[in-house]
Amino acid sequence: MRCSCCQTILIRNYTLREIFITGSFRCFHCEKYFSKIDPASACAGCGRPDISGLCHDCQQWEKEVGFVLNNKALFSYTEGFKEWITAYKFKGDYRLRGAFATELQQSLKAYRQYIICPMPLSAERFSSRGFNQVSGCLDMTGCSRQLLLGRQETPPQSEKTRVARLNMPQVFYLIQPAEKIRNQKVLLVDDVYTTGRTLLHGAELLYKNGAKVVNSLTFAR
Amino acid sequence: MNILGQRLLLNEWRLFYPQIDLKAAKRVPAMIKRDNQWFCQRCGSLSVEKLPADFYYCPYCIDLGRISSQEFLYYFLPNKQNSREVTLEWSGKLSPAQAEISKKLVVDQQPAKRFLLWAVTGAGKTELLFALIKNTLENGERIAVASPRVDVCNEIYLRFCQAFPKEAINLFHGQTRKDQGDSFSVCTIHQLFRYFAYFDVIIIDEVDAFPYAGDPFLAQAVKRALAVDGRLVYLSATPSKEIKQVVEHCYHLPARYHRRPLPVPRLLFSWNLERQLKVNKLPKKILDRLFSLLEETNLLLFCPNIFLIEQLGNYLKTLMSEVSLTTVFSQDQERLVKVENMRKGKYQLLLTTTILERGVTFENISVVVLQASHRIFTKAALVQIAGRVDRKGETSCGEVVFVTSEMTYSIKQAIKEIKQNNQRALAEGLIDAL
Repeated sequence: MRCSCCQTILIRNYTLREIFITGSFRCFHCEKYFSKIDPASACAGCGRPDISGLCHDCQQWEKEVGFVLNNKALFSYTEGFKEWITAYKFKGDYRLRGAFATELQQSLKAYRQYIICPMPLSAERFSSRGFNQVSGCLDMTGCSRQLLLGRQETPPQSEKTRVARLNMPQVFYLIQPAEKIRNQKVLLVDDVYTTGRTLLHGAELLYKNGAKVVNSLTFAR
Repeated sequence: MNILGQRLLLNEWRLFYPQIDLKAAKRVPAMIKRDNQWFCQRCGSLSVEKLPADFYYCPYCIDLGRISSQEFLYYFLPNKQNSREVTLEWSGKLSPAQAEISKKLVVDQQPAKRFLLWAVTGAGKTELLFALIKNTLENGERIAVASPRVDVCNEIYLRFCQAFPKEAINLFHGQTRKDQGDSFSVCTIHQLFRYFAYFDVIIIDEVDAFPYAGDPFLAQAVKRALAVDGRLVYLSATPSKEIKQVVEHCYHLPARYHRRPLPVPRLLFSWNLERQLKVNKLPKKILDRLFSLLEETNLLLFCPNIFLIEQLGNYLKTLMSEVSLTTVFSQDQERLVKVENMRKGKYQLLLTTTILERGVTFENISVVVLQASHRIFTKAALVQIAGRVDRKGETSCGEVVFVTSEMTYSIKQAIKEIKQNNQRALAEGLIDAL
């Protein structure tokens, strides 16, 4: 069996449980890349670790847009996570998509009644990268997902400064009829929560079209 | 023009050579469909990795930048080069044994295609190559010197630059691209994937080193970069049987240029080694040996894995507060700095993995291999590690010690090979005494 992250062959004895039940392992090195965030001590709005109640940023958002997301983040945005996302998203090694399938599957259990919606890429970005990095990870968990949003082409997020990101205009539009969302619970899934601007744009649009609850889940915070 | 021979993707051309106009370039599709698989035209692997956007990519050479079935590889046709003058500025002198092999290597180039230069660690392989390189370049042919190790590339590049000051030599590896000419390149083996049927001579240093040994993928890189009638020269201190079989000429140099025998490893058995390592400690017997070695020379301590290095580093720091020690391994950010400091003698004790098994020279050093029975220490690795000792300078009392709890085939073979080389050198009169 190979490490779900770096693809090297794992040399150790597997337990029966590992062989038959869970399908995703990480090797000793990659295990260090991912440090889990304890949701009990994380910010209720954005999932930032070691905050009680709402963090400063989320209080600002609450004033500005009128709601917070209840974002849940799986891992801290550490050097290791950066390495993984560089190899996966920017270099484009699609094989790395199962790096934390087990953890993702666990956390999705709390969102049974939700429509799971990955954050979209613009059409141009999708055709050059070849995959949506969020959908790729979600597929490995076997959950059903539905793309509700589309996205206009903009320069890459990761090249922008914090201020530029915060002042970004709405880039999303609905690609499904509004009836589909009305009175539904929606879970937006994204790779990294940085300022929250992108996810909040998506959530605003969904609320405007009648969604009952919009929550979010990100791989890293 | 220094871009001939390279076959690159559009984004690589834009990144490396933005000034080049690709209108005159030829192009081939980056991947070709073969049955249900896609053949990568860069690395020659077959891929089945499909992306949701309905195209394929090659996961094997992804470290060079992703190649996909939508893209094209662009290249310029190489032209014929004329013979020319090449100046070699090197004042050193080859020993008679070295000189003979060096001469043979040039003469034998015509009829044969595969060569092996089998010379013990520290025999002066690089100097032996000067004549061949000079000859090749003078004939207007193209040459590449490739090694699986970045450290080795850097070191031989410097030596070639000194020896051939008028040549434009390229240096390519993961961290650097020094682009100067198009007939002489020093690079890691991976970089050869960027060339196709281009080099007339490829010299592969340390063929037995990880990751080249046992990886058919990298052998492919060499095969693809070699011109139709190209020649291959393998260099090794510990060649495998397979390599000895495929070559037409094998030159054996069993002794070092300074006429001293290779140090023969000594064994230190410790039955409770594994049990002590589990609690991150060392048996007293071994500690005593480390202390007595440290009184005489500096010390390299080879460990089988990084985890152990970190644990033992902390443990030894508390035990030997007066000894300056540090640790180094492949992912270490300061790796090059630490090795440089060790060379200057700033540390007395350096804990390392097999990354330092070859390509480095320290003066006045002893070597201890911890858990020599571990499967990472193959025969080749052990011979190389033993070869770190007594490489240059005055006679030193450096020792090689293998610490182990059991005897393995690799250990036995390594010691046997070192002894055989010494015997043979003595018989040929290449060393003075055992």
